Amino acid sequence: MIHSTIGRRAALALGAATLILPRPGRAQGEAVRIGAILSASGGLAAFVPPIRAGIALALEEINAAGGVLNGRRLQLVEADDQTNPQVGVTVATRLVQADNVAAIIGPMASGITIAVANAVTIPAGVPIISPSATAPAISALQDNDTVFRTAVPDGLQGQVLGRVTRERGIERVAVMAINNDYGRGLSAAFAEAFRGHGGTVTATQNFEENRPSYRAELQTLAGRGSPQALMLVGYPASGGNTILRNSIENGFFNRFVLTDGMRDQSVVEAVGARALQGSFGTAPGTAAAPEQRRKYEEAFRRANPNLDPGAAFVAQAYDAAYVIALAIQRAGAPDRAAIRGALREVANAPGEVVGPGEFARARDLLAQGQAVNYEGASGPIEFNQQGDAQGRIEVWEVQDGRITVVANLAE
Amino acid sequence: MLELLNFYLIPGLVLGAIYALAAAGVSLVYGVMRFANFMHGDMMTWGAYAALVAVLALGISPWVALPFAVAATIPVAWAADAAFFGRLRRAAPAVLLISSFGAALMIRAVVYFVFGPTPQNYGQGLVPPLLFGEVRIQQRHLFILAGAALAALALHLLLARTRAGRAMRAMADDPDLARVTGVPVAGVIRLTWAVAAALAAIAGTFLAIDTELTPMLGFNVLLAAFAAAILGGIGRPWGAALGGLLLGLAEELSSYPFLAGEPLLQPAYKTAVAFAVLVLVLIFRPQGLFRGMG
Repeated sequence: MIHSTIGRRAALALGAATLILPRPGRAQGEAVRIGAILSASGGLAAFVPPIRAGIALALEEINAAGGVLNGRRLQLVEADDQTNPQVGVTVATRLVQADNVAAIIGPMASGITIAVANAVTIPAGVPIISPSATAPAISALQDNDTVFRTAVPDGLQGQVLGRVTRERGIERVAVMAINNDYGRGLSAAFAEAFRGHGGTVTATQNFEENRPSYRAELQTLAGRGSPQALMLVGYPASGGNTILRNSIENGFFNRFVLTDGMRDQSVVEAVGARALQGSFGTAPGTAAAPEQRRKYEEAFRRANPNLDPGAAFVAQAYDAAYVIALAIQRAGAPDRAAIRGALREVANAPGEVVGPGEFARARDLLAQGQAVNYEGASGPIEFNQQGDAQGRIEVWEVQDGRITVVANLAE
Repeated sequence: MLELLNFYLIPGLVLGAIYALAAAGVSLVYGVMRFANFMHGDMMTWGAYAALVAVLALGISPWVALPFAVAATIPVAWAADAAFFGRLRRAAPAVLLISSFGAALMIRAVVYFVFGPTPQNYGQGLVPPLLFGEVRIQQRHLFILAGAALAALALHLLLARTRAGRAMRAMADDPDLARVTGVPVAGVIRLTWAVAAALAAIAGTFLAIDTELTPMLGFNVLLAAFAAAILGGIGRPWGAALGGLLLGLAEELSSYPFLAGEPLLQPAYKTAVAFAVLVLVLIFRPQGLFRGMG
């Protein structure tokens, strides 16, 4: 027994060592690895298929245009964080140490992004660009300039949603928010703006994910201060759909104010178009120049006829892949620190404007020593001091069973 | 008072009934084979998706699809036993626990692969509740309570009145004595898996009817099922069922505004209630409500 235990331990240690040790250096011409941490299972899973397709489209375009750095291909290494911060940290460690990725796209959720950044990518100096983490707290990370996002922070989303809700004649809302960074941050930003425009938040509850029923919570919220609508911050598969059903079936609420987390067509399919008629919400919108947006949408539809290029965070993910590729090209090597330094140079003005599908032109410009300024599918992608992209917030409604964008606001 | 009944007691009972079914299955497997079966939650998921297949293919209601769910889940349990647990019968409980966790992940991966991560439902749409005077209850909740009661009764009759049930109880009390007195061990184990899988499939389909289908459906209630099983005395299916009911009620009632309009406990911390109850029971009655096995 003793022998076999020691043997097993030794084997485990050996296995762990091979995981941790970086692999030997690669020859010139070998593919450059880009990591992606997506929530392919768990609460956010419904968002992933189009986002993955967006990233894949960007990489295919870049590889078809001859790749980066004298013909090296970009290779995507995808990991699933199961919408769970602990798993996120584990897979990020693997991407950084075993797969030796140059940069990471993701994670998707704010809480996971913060966990991954603090535990893995900030210490390792790996640049990460989240297409969808929107919590205000991310701007405040002491990140040594490694954490970027193409998503617009929720401070702006809450501000717009608070005003739009008031403008639609709603004076009293009950707030129900998922108990994490995203839910607490966004609901607080909303409440502040809503009160600022003369509205009243009758009650606020933070709910726990994955409960089979939310009737008790909803009953408590509906019973106090006669709210006219429920403002819900959540994800469809980990409670959001259940909350909507429980509300409608029991007559607690019939009007909903929603956010980007619930902006998915599957929500309408699950709850029913009639019940959601008149509900509305916000999400990071497109601030893109129409011609850049069109190039992206056409290419996306050609590659994925069954997926929606306008689905939440897809254009942001596409843009994240593009700026990483441009930064690698600008840096001249898949070196993590150099990529970090080059991200703003290729994304921000000044420089020759390049857009979706123009990687070859951008590479030629960089080769001639010119500056480029990527204007993406989701917006102009100008990273500020905190690494946040400046953008717009869209207002969407459920009209005849489809999620329809009705406005695109800058403030 | 009506509020308490309509929005706290009835949901608590429904949730408790689902926990009870799940916990009875966990407890049964523990009793006969003596390991904590982490595959149980994903067997629930499997059953619920099997019912979905029947609903979509035959256009029937999910209640009628229950036999399909059961029939599809039993072979999975047998296959897992033949492939993994049977070979590890004499291994330490921790080894069996971890291998059941592995089997759970395999089942979940298949569900993800076939059905994808997007939530689905049985297409029943939204139904307003039935009204009995001031008491409001969803029709599906009546069915779930009745179905759980029927399943519990069937389990009781099986364990108490049949030869096979006596053999299962004998295995639970003393496996070696059962073996030497001629209890057909392999047959009892197969039957135990079949009963546990049937309970899991029913619980999973009920849960999916009340909420929606996601690949994490069963796993999300697995911890509550274990808490219920321990609360009732692990290895005692009846105790587990009672434990499930108690936990469901405790979770829902904990957020009732007993005092001046504020919820007793913020609902975000409901799940903790189940475990607080569990810890209290273990402190004051370590063997569980019914005398469980070590």
